[in-house]
Amino acid sequence: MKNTLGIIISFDSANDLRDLTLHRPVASVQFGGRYRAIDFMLSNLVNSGCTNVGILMRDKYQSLMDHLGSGKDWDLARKKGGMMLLPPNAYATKSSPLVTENYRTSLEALGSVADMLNKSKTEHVLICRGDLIANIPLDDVLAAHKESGAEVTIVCKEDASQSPFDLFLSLDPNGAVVDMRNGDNYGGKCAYKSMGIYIMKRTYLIGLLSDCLTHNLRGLESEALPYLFRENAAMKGYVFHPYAAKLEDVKGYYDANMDMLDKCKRDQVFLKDRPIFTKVHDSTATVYGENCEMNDSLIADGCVIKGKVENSVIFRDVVIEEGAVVKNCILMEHTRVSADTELNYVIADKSVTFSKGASMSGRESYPIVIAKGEKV
Amino acid sequence: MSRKKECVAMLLAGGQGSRLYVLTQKVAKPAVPFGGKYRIIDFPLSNCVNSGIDTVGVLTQYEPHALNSYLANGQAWDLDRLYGGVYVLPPYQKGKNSEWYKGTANAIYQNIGFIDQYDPEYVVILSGDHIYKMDYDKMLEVHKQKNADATIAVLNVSLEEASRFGIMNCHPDGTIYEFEEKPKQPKSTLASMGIYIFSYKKLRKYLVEDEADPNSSNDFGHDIIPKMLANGENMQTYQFEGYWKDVGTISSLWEANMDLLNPESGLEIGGDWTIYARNAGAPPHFAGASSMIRHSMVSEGCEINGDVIESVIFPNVSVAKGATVDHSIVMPGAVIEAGAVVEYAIVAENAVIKAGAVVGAKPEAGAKPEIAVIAADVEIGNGQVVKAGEMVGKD
Repeated sequence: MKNTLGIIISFDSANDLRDLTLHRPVASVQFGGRYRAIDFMLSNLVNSGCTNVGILMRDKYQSLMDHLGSGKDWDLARKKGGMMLLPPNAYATKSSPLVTENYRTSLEALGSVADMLNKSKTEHVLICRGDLIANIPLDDVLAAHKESGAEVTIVCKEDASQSPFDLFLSLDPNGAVVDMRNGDNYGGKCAYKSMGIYIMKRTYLIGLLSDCLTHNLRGLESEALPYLFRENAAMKGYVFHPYAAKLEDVKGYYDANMDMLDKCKRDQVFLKDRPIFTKVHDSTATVYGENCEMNDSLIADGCVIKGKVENSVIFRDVVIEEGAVVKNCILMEHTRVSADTELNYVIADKSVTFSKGASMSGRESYPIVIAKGEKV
Repeated sequence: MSRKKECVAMLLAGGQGSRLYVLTQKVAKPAVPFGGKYRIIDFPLSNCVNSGIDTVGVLTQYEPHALNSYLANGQAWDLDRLYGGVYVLPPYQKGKNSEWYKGTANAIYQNIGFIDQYDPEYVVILSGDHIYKMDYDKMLEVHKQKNADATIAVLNVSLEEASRFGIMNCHPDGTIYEFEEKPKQPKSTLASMGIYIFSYKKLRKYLVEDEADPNSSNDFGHDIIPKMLANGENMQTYQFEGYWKDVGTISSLWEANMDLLNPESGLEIGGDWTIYARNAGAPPHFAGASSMIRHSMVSEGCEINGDVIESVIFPNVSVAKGATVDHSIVMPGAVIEAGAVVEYAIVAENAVIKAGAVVGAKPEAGAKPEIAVIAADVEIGNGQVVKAGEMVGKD
C-alpha cells in the first residue's frame, strides 16, 4: 500500500453520541479501555503498509490533534509522507477552488483539499471513516481492487438491517454492485451495508469531486456514489466478515464496547500480528486490592481496583474504592468511584468523580452518559 | 549555539548478572523485566530524563541484542533528541589494540571519545541493576556547591547489612576520608549506591592514569575511588533517602517486585516521577468470571481466568481457569495452563506451564522463601513438579 494515500474522515454529522462528542469529534471518542476510535483505521492503514495518511477535520478537533501529536505512536512521523492533519481552510481558494467556504460534508471536505490530491504522487486513494472499530487487512482490499479492474471498491459487510444513514448494496456473485440504496433498506432488499471504506485511483477521485461539486452534489454516500452507480461506473464490493462496529449512537457505542468482553469478538479486533496502536500514557500496571471482585471485565493500566467490577470496560488510571460496585459500565480515564457507590449501565467520560454513595443506574437500552469532568 | 552539555550520563549495562542465573541466559541484567511493565534499565534511564539529563551512553557487552532493540532510538524515554539522546556503546575496534571492557572504569575509558564530543563539565556514572527513583540534579547541585571532584550517592543501611556493601567513612560535613569494601567491622553505615558524579576533567585524568597502571583491575570501586582518596581529592557524599534496591539476585529481584505490592516498602511507581518504558501495545487485560485477583498488579494484554494472589503479572500473560499464581512474578507472554500451581516463583518471558504442573512451593512458617525460576521460552510439561528454589533453564 506504499503507493496509496489514506484519508480518514474524522467527523460525521450523522453520529449521535450525546455528551461523548461535546468536546471532540467522533474519531477521538474513547473505545475499548485505552483507545480512541481513530486508532483502529489509522492502525489498519499503517499495518497494511500505507505511510501517507491525511486526516480531514471539521470542528472540535483540538482533542484529536492532541491525541495524534506528530503521529509517532502510529509510526507516522516520517520524513516522506507520514501523517497530514487537514483542518478546514487548509488551502488557498486559488489552488483548491471547488470548496471555498467552511464545509459540512465529507465530499466537500475532500474537495477542499483538491490541491493536496493533485500534488500527491500516489496511484490510489483509500477513503475511510474515523469511527469504525475493526481490524481490516486493507492491503488485501487494495489487491482485490487492482485485480478486479473496478473503478471503485467498497468494503461492506453482510447486514441488511435498517439504519438511517447507511449505504446499502446488492452484489452479484462476482462482487459487482448491482443495486445501491442510501439511508433506507426497506424490506431488506440489499444484503450488504457499506463500511464507509472506498478505494479508487487518485485521478478518478479528482474527476469525481469535480463532477459532483460543480453540479451541487455534496454528499459522498448520499449523492456521489449513487451518481456513479447511475452512470454505470464499475463498482465492486469487498465483503469483510470479521467483527466490525460503527459508533453511531450511544446504544451502538455501548454495545460495541461490551462486545470487547467477548473473547471471540475481541480476538477478531486485537490481532498479534496487526496490533492497534494508540497514544502511550506510561501508566503503571493496574493494582488490585484485598477485597476486589472481578467478573468479565476489561481493565486498562494504571487503575487501582478495590471494589467489585462486573461486565465493564475500565479505561486507564481509574480508581474504584473499597465497597464500590461497578456493573455494566464504561468508565473512562481518571474516573473516580468513591467507596460504597453503586453504578449500573453508566458511561462516564474522562475525569468524572462519583462521591461516596452517589449511586446511579441507567438501563441496558438507555445507558446514562456523564459528561467529561462532572462531579456526581 | 553551544554544542556543550553540562552533564552527560554513562550507564553501565554490560554485566552478565550471573547471580540471576537462568534469567540472564539470553539477556543482559538491565534488560530483565521488572514491576509489571518495565525492564530494570527503565529506572536509571527515566531518572536521567526526569533529572534533565538528555545525553546517556549505555555501555553494553554481554548479550546486547534485547537491550539494543529495547532502547532503539530512545523514543520511549523521550531521548530521541536532535543533539544528545541515548547511545548504545559496545566495545569497538581501535587502531592497534581492540579489547572487551575489562572493568567499569575501563568501559568508560574506552569511550572517552564519546564523552569528549559533548565537552561536559560533569559525568554521572550509573549502573543498570538498581531499582530506585532519584533526582540526579539535586545530587549535582550538592557536587557543585561543595566544589567536589567526585560525589558518591550513599544510603544509610543498618549496621548488620553494612558489611555487604562498600562503606564510606565520612567527616560530619559529608567529606569522605576512607572507603572500605565490605568491611567486617563497619565504622559507618553509609553504603555506596554505585552512583557517582565526577568533574569530568578530573575523571578523565584518573581514567588515563588507571589505564596505564598494569596492576589495576580498572574498576571504579576498587581502583579509581581509592586512588582519588589517596591523592586527597575533594570527595563528597550525597545521602539519598528513599527506596533503593540492588536486584542482582533472584531473591532480591523477587523481593523488589513484592515491595511494589506493599505501599509501606516505600517503592511506588506512579506519580510525577514517571518511569518510562517501551509499551507492549496490547489491549487492556481481561478478568474473567472465574478469576480471583487479590493484592496484585496486572498489566495489559493479559487474560486472567484463574487465581492471582500477591503477584506481579506482566503484559500478555494468560492464567487459565483453575490455575493459581501466588506470590510470584510472571513475565511477558508466559502461559499458565488450567490447574497449574505457581507459588513463590519467577516465570520468565514466554515460558509455558502446562496443565496441572506445579512450580515452587510455600515456605515453611518463618522460613525465608526459596524462589523457583523458570527461564524464558521453557515449557514445563503436564503435571511436572518444580521444587521450591529450583531453576529450570531448558525444557
